[in-house]
Amino acid sequence: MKTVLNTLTLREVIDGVRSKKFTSGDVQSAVISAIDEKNEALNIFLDYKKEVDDSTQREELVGAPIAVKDNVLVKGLQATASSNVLQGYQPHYEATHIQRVKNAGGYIVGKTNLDAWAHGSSTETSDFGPSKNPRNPEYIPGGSSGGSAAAIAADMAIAAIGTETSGSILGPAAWCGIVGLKPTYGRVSRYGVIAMGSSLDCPGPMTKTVEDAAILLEHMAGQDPYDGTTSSTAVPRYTESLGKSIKGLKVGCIYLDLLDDPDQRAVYEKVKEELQALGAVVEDAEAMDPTPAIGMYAVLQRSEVSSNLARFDGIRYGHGRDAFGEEAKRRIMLGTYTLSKGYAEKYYIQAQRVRTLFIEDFKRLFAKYDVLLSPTMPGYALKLGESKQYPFFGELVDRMAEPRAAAGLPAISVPCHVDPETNLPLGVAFTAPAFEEGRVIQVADAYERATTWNQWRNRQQEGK
Amino acid sequence: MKKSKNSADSSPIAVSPATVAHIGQLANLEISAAEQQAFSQAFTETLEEVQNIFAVDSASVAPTHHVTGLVNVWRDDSIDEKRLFSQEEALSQAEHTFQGMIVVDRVLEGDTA
Repeated sequence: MKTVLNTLTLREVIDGVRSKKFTSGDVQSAVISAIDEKNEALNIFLDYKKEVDDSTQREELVGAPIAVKDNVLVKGLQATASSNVLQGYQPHYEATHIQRVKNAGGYIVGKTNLDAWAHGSSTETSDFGPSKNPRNPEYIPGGSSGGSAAAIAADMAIAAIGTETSGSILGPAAWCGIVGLKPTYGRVSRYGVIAMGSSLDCPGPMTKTVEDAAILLEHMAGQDPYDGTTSSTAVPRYTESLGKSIKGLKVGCIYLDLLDDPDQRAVYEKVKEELQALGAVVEDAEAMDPTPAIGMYAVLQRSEVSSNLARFDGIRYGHGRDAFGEEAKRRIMLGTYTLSKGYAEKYYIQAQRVRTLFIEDFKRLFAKYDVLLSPTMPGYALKLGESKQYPFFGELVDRMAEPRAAAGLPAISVPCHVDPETNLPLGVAFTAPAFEEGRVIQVADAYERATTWNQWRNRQQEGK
Repeated sequence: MKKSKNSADSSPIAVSPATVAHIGQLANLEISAAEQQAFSQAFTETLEEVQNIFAVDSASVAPTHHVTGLVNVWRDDSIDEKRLFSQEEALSQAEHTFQGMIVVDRVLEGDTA
């Protein structure tokens, strides 16, 4: 079987280039052709390179083409955060984690669409139009890192980078049938990321397999003098967590009772059985009701947005504040309100108290369990345009993500089901204590290898 | 909604169009009359949704500002040459420049000299 190079995983690209089966230029050409061919219909890349560069193929990432969410600064490519305010902006500096990936030989192929300023869970608030879900183009890819997730699902990149404030990596990963890993807050530098909620934002890998996520995270993570919130905790070799048994691992299952649809509940019951078959000890656990997280997250995020987006005044770069879209205006203004005198105590400080309650609740759960299992999203991707009828859409779909985001915990989403009628996938999320990315990689990798829901793993297994 | 156990006043708030206009000014955003009306309704609805943060017993816990426990992270008080823009780079993205400088809007009124 002749494999088309753009459909390979990062691991396969690394192995293939090293063993001289093909060059990194061959892979880059295949990826650029795939973008040329599919981008008009799917609206995934806002900017991408046309020329190949195989000068880094001796490095660890061998020149593998990596797509990057357009709220991350990469030299030589525009950075708009999908907003007209930054249309045409060419950064003169670069995100630290991008530098690291480039130093390791990664080739940044292009910039992917997102909800404008990462405000949303659909890519529909992008000033440059929504992206379409490659699994079924009548549906949204999720968001805000919807472009990066869709790029992977459509084999328009070998790996991708997204950012998550709450649910923005895991959510679109689940809805596009790929792997998304949100690291611990402070594990990957935020320097060079267009800030949204500075106490929450985390860049992370979005990939075809768990193995690829582990490889990419190794090259993104680590302390950065340019981001004072990065941790000095040593970065482990995440790839050493691959292929390990999960026998005896204690898995606590949360939020399954929030699913309305019995068929979807059955999907996660099956995941539990599969993990049990692998030797894990799986139990239902009771987490704090995530309902207060909706308000908590709305207040924290909008408050921080109002502060972060104050710098976009169109003087030193970008265009004027009249170019902000409606959703950004709403969030800036509500955040201005919740941070104003008198209301900061009422709303912002109270939201931070609720944040403490969720942190304590996770501590209680992790005293008993090694990892927590939950549905990544409370259902399948919506049809394009459908989310507009829910003014609080993002907060509602992300309510399973908000407590974890507020606690700064690492998590991963892997595919665990595909609806045969719509071809839309579901994801299962695993959450671990801070700086235990290795643990979510271990359990997700074991699950992925033991089941047939990952299309790229399947192809490898069929080829054997 | 169950009664709050928190010290702060948790009663719901209606945001008037006049307040929206004032917030717009604070946020440096031009808000049209139609937007004032629409945002007034939207903000009141959002703040109603946010009421759920008052429905938990949080009186005994301290607010969390930062999750991984770092305290007072400082850098050296020295210039990092690697992070300097040239004048050309610093000006290259500005819409209005004049003789090597960035043009800004007048902020003081009444002085026409």
